[in-house]
Amino acid sequence: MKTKFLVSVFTVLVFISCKVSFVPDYDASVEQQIIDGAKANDKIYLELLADSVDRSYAKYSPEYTDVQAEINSIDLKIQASKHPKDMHMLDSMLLVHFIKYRDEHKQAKTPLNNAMIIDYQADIKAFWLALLKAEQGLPHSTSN
Amino acid sequence: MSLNINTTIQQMLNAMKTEAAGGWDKIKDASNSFLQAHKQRLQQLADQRLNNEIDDDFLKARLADEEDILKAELIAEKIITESAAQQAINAAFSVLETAILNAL
Repeated sequence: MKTKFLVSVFTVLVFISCKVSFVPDYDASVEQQIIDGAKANDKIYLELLADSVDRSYAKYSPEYTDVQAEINSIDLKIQASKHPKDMHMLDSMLLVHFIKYRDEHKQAKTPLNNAMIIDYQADIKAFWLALLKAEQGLPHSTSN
Repeated sequence: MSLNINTTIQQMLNAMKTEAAGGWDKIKDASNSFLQAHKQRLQQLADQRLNNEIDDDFLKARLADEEDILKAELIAEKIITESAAQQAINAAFSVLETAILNAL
């Protein structure tokens, strides 16, 4: 009886250790931050479109800083997770393009026109969406 | 001047097919679905340039970004596929574990 019990415990331990893991676990807090970050980023472009008087970078600088802080925070959580490589790659692509669009706004010699704003808005949304889809596709702990 | 986006997309797919050669079958579905999903966006960029709302440099920068968006979408697909594989493998081993324990 005692031997059977020990064998059972051993078997369970062996199989628990056999669980494979290729990707990080889903994190609801990261998903919420992605949604919040995308919303704040979209708001910058919506406000720019609505503002025909002052589209200067200086006016929107604080909002850009808030969004970058959100992306950095998401990246910190991703890097602290197991198997972060691909999620980190996605987050880095988002950050690179966010900075690129921000800097183009900052360095623009003339105010951004509607077409440019619409392009920035559409493209950055695509990077946020890829990150969100990936996060939502990660294994949820309840289904493991 | 106008641009027929459907013809252009078919030409883009042909160019990808030629360049990818033997690997075309592996990326065919993802490439086709990306271009179809982004058809409106590519048309929008073309219209903006044809209407002189954006200049050549801005257009080139955005087209390069579209390439990066395709890369990002492919990475996201890879993550989702690996996640599904992980869950399927662990579910299979869980069944095996239960079967062995029940047999003890």
